[in-house]
Amino acid sequence: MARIPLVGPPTRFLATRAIGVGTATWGVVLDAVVSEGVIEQTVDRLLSNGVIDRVSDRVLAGPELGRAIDRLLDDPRFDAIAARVLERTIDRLLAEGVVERVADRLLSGPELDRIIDRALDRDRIEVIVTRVLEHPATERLVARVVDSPSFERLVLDIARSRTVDRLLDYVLASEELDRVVKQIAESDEVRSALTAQSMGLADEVADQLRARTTAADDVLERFARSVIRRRR
Amino acid sequence: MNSSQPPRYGGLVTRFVAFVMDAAILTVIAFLIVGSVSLALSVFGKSISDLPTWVNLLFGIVGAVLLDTAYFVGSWCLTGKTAGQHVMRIRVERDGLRGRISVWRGIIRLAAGVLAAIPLFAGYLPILFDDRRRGFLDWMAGTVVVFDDRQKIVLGTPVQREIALERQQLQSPTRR
Repeated sequence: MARIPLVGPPTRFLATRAIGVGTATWGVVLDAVVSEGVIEQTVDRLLSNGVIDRVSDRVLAGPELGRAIDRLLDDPRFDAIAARVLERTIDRLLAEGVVERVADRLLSGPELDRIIDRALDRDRIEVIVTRVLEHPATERLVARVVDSPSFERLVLDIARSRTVDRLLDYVLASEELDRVVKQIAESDEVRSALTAQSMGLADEVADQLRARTTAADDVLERFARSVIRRRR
Repeated sequence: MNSSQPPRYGGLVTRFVAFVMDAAILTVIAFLIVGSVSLALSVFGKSISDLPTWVNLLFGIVGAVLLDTAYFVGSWCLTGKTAGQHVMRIRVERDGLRGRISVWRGIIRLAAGVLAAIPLFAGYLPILFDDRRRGFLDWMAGTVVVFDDRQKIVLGTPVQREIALERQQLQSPTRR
């Protein structure tokens, strides 16, 4: 009796179809989520109930995050999949203005400060961040995302948004910026650079003047001597 | 620059531009001195115009002579060049000898320079014809004005200094 191979054309066909169906389903779900404002509602609900606070505590405290990140980063298919998912997600989020609304909500609420404070208070976050940053997969992923047109569109949209204007106004009006500018302006490096630049300019002007007067010396002498020769 | 190479002599235009700079510096110094004296007199309720004419003339002439002598002779004797000559990168030295001139020679040179200017600056015209670009004042004092190619460029960043040195070497005109 002939044995039916477990991995053969029928199995590959089924797997291909399954991936196609999965991708299409993901697109439909993403459309629904974006169009119905589900993301904003979910974010609001999660932030107001403190769920994100508790989840972040749990995740940061346990070893699972580190292991999961390691496994994910070591997977050879990770960067291709992550880049594709990121690109498509960014496109959808940008098209619906979700990014701007979520950023507004996060910036206006106190939750972001709390989460950042809590995360930064733990030593483990440093270990995780260091491991992620030093992993070669991160470098590849960043390079791929940065080169993608979606990322460019995202940056441009963020730059054009009113949130950036407000953030910029806030930074420009802050006393910290005044202190930073004052410190830079009073630094020895800036002063010596300005002095060197001014002196360099003065040197250049003097060089030009010298070159012209030297040439004028020769011209005047030739003229005077030719006049004398003519009279003789 | 190699010291065995013949020196390049400063021409009339270069020396004139250097002199104009020196004149500007002296004018500023004189203005500051007169302003200071005027302020000091104002404390006593007086002004310079209240002084007799002969006093003004005396102090003006003596002051100008002293200031010019101190500035020119002092510069030539101490550094070999005035501020204007420093900018134009020329210096005064004894004819045939490298080195600064003495005070006495400096005084003669200054006096001869004034005398050379009296007949419509005719005493400076020989600079155009002399092989070593000497004027009446140089003949009298036994001096020459040479380009100071050895003058260090100390201003600017290291890169700017390097560029300036290269440019200086490229722009050096044919030696006379």
